[in-house]
Amino acid sequence: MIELNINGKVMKFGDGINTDVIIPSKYLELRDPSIFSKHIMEPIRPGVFNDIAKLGMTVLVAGNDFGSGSSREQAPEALKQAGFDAVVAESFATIFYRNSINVGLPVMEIPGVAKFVEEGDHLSINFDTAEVRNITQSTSMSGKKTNSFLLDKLRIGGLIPELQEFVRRNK
Amino acid sequence: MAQTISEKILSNHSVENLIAYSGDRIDVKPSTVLSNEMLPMISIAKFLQTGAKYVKSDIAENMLVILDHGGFGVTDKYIDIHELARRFTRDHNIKLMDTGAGISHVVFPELGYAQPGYLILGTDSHTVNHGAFNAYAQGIGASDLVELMIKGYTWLAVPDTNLIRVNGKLPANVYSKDLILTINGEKKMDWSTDKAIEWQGSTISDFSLEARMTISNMAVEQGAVAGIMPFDNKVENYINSTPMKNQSRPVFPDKDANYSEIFDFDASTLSPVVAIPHSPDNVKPVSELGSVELDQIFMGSCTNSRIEDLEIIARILKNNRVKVRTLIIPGSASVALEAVKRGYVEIFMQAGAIWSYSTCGACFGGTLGRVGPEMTALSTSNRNFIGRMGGDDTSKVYLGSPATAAQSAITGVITSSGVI
Repeated sequence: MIELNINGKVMKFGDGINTDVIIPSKYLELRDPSIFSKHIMEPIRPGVFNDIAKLGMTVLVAGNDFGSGSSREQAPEALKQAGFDAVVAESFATIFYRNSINVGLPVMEIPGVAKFVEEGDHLSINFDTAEVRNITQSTSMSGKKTNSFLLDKLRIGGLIPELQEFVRRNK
Repeated sequence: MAQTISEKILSNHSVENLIAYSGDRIDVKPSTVLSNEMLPMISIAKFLQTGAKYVKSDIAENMLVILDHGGFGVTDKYIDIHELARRFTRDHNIKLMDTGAGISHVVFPELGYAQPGYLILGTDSHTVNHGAFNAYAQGIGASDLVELMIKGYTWLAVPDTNLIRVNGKLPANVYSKDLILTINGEKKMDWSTDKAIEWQGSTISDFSLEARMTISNMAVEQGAVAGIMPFDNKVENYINSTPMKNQSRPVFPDKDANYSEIFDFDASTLSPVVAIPHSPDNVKPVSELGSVELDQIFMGSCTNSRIEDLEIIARILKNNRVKVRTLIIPGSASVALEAVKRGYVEIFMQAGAIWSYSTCGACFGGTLGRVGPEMTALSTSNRNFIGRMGGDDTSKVYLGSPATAAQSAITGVITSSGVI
């Protein structure tokens, strides 16, 4: 079971971060997420991969329309592999949001989050209640509750573990 | 209760025969399934990881895999990826169109896989392209494809719908690409997030299927999950010209269907436009651009590489020479053959443009025609995000119509169609 109470320091990004920025297409042929994830966000902030561990920033906070563009599942896969425990944003593009659940990366839509959080703040996020606490600033707010159908998928680690179970049951 | 086209098509494909409305989440069985390199890059390994042995036969029979992004024997890694796709599709009786056959969103409808009333799911965000055939076509992820291959169905959220009505006659030298860029520029990248679009109006009816696909293709550039156009005899004629027999079930919205927003647009007000760096919704009339000198021009991609696009380019390049490196990539092998027969290729080559085999090419930045740092390019494709066509934040990519691209090739600066 995956823990859906997430605590961590924030790395902050702006509006309209698309999947070509999250993981540029030239790295997709590398196939192995542990390898291509080294290049996340390279077009706008090179070195993010190293910063996550070095600065201990494991919660990604972004503005509007995070993950627009390509259907590449490698985008959430790379963020997860690089060490982000959760991604929260003002809003998400449809396919990115679905792909995140499928690869087991907790995502939550939190309108107003960009103003609520500064880079480096310590956030505590409860995905069941959609309560978000900014421990650094001693404030709290609510996000949009993630559908329980999707939370159940997240809890078991995404779609592939669910399908493993399906195949085992239907043997 | 009245239904939109999306609500009707998704209800028709409900596994449990539900009558669905926006806000519902239902299991659906697609009519046809499209995949590309996402199958070998991700889905095959995950399929094997689940312990599954067989691909559901009704998915395998209606699935088309088109190897379009990775080029023809370009890198060692893509050579391996493509070989993996060949082996898997052979073992599981899935139809494969190999490298060079064309771009998936050009080939898929050419072969009749997009038909009215169909539910089409594809591992590519531009799968929305096929909404031009009065179908519900949505992009999905590579794990979703694994679910389809194992279970034969997956879940979809039935979307709200934005209705866009376009009426009025297009001014001269303005094309469907100018229309979709202008509307997306006005409405921005997330206006239709999580929603479907329905298109209506005389301007849409006047367009050919090729021109309609340019519009539905870029529905995803305003965030839409699907962009659906009306059924008419043009759709019927197109389907009848494909090798697949006509299996269409046209779908019309109910009179009092519930739309989230209705947007009326007058096409007679349009002028040639381009999207300027670094977003497809950053749109300006060419006349307001000033002088933008170009290093490279790319004409191709699933948005603008069909025979009608090549016809426009040939008309403009005829008896002219290009002043800037110009790459023309046809949308499919059959588009290429038709271009040869019609004499377009001779025109392109006499003009000094480079003519290539069919692939996604520069659009995806994977192979062929990448731009470098500090370079400025004009492209007929759909996205000009930072680094999308190669390069970095110092590379500038503009998006425009094939006519604007061809005119600009002759002058070397971004030039609106019709100036020469």
